[in-house]
Amino acid sequence: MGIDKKIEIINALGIVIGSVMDATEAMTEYSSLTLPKKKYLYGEAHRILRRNNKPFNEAQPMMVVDIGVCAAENGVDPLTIMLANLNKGK
Amino acid sequence: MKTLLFGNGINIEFGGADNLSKSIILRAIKGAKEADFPVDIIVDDPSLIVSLLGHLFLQVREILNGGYDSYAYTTDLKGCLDDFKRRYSIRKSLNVATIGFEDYYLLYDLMCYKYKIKNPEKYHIREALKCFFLYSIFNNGRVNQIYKSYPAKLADFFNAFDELYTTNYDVNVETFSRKKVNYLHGAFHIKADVYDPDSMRNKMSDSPIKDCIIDEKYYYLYSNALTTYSGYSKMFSIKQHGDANSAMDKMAKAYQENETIKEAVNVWEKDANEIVRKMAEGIKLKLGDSNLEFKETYPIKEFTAISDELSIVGLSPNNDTHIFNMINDNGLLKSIVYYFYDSEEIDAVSQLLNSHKLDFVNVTELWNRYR
Repeated sequence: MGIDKKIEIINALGIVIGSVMDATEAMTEYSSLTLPKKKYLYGEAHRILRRNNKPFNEAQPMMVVDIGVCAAENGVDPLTIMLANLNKGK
Repeated sequence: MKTLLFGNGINIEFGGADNLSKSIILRAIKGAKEADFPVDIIVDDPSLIVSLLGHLFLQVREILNGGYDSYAYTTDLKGCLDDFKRRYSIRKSLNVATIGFEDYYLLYDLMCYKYKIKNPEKYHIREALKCFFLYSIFNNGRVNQIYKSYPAKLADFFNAFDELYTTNYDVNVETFSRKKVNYLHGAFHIKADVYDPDSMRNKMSDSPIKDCIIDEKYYYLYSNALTTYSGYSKMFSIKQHGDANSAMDKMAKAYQENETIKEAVNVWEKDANEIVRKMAEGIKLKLGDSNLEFKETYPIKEFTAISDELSIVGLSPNNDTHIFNMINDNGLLKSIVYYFYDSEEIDAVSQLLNSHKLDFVNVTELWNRYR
């Protein structure tokens, strides 16, 4: 996947979860994490998305809260957690 | 006369991070998922209130991009929206817990204007949101136990003042100092008028308490604690009962002395407009019992009359501009000491209290003195 396409996808994810962080900043934040932390956040994101496997209108606000809580507890932006899911923690 | 005005900073200092806005929001979300969440009082399905929080957070991006500018209809709301944008647009990262909990009421009001959500639904949902946060602030009673962490020497500090005022809802300072504390924004132990069976509001035919079973275990959820984003709306609530009493007194007097008004009030009883009918009912009740009045539970008159020396501790200039305005307008004060936590507060407070000469002291120095 080209970098422009990837940035486009990450920005779209940002809109879905209400993040105000720019895609490139989220990528920088994600790169700065240790591998265990990336894997941990992937596991958390995966669990949150599975838990909210409902129609989008119902799932989106709940997902926003769950991802937001995870972000607050781990000191990262919600978009960085979505990025961990996108990259499968790698 | 020496007066102390204190805010949540004292709870953060001695009660720790549990009392920060971020912790209040995270605890509120987690609390809504617990089995003992009081669903019978707050909302039948707690996931609805969590979902509302998600919806509110989702508006932040649009608000910061100006998408809500046309929904701020009043001068006060415009000012609050500008202030919100000023505070949050400088942040590179936001999540549900980094939005101040009182700012959620601003998001809610704006969303209601945009999606045309009106009363009574608007009021009921707002009350549920308020209880959701109050439940978290109360923290199963832990908020009233913070005084146990006060150093014994701190009693000397409180004893140096003749009068104590606070914007907090807890009773820590009152328990610790054994001095009367005046609760400017209400307190967990003071019932809101609508939940007081003896209040004038509950003497009316549509008494709100008629359809309400009060669970005293959660007494704080029925309290007069004020939570909102705007100083103006806090002030409106604070003065509401005093203004209503003044109007009722005048109308009852006019009813007895002026035949035209008497006839008008009698016609109002059958008016199509509910507010007009209620006005007539209130006047008739007042005529039947002149002692009947709306209880004034916020000590605002007393606060506007404080004189000589004032010390302000643990009170942020954000969200409580109405209190700073009252202090600024008070010509009886001769000296004010503001204990700051962050030096950035100095500029904001200097602007808010520009009629007075101020002394600024770092609050850390104050706490170190009483350790």
